[in-house]
Amino acid sequence: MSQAQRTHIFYFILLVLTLAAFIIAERQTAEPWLMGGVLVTAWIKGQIVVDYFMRLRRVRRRLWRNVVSGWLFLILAVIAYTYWLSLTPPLN
Amino acid sequence: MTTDTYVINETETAVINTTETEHETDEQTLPGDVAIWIFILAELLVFGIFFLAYAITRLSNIELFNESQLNLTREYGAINTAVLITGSYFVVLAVNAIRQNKTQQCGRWLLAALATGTIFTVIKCIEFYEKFSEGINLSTNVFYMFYLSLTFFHFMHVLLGMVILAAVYVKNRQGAYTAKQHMGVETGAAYWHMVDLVWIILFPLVYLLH
Repeated sequence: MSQAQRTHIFYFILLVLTLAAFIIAERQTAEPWLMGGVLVTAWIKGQIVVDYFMRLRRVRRRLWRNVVSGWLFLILAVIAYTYWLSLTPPLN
Repeated sequence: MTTDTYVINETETAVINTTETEHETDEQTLPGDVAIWIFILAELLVFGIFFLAYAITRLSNIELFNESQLNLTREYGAINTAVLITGSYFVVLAVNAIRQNKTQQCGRWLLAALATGTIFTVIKCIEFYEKFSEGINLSTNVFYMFYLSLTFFHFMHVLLGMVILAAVYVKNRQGAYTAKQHMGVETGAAYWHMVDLVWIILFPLVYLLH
């Protein structure tokens, strides 16, 4: 697959994931696993941008990709964790 | 004369196409200037702190955040996400074009990306106008303080990204970039993608998660 074809396909995937996240969030009943799905779509989208739009996937010095990907993962993980905490009732 | 130029260009294009194929399989150097990447990392750090502050503050104001969030127009956020992604896609196509020495095509894609930036800013201005018309401001509540400051901070980055892309477009028109030397295009592209990447987190965090 050529670089151009990959770009078109990833663009299409990014749009589909955006639409999916929007449709999920439009549901009135916010089920936690659905909100988890919204965060997963954000992670996939972000990683596509990092790897194929920013072109960090094949960069010789892995540190650059690792730092940006790590930032993406860490931020979304903390958001997911705080969201999960917000669902659990207080102990007392 | 014209034929000679054409032959030379074709040869160059063939060489460049080979180089592009090699790029696809081999490891590459960092696209763009290292300085912009250090700047990008600093920007990501700042946005990251903002996002974490939002998520942690939400923990102690869940009802307020959920109620206030219902007042946002999610459609604007979703459309703007699609617009920014499209802008990033156009920038990728611009980089692909200059890598193949297609200067004019590169310019057209850069203009298209600038158009998406303009659409984003117009939609954002409409959104801000609607909120201010409803009497909402930074001191309305802690949710709106985050919503307005985060989205405005990102908005300023979109404007800066547009200025950078416009500068790259002008330099490209002046013939400053070729298939072999196009660091400026890649530098501008990297910054624009960073703006897109930040919005990819901001959109679900502020508009969707409830």
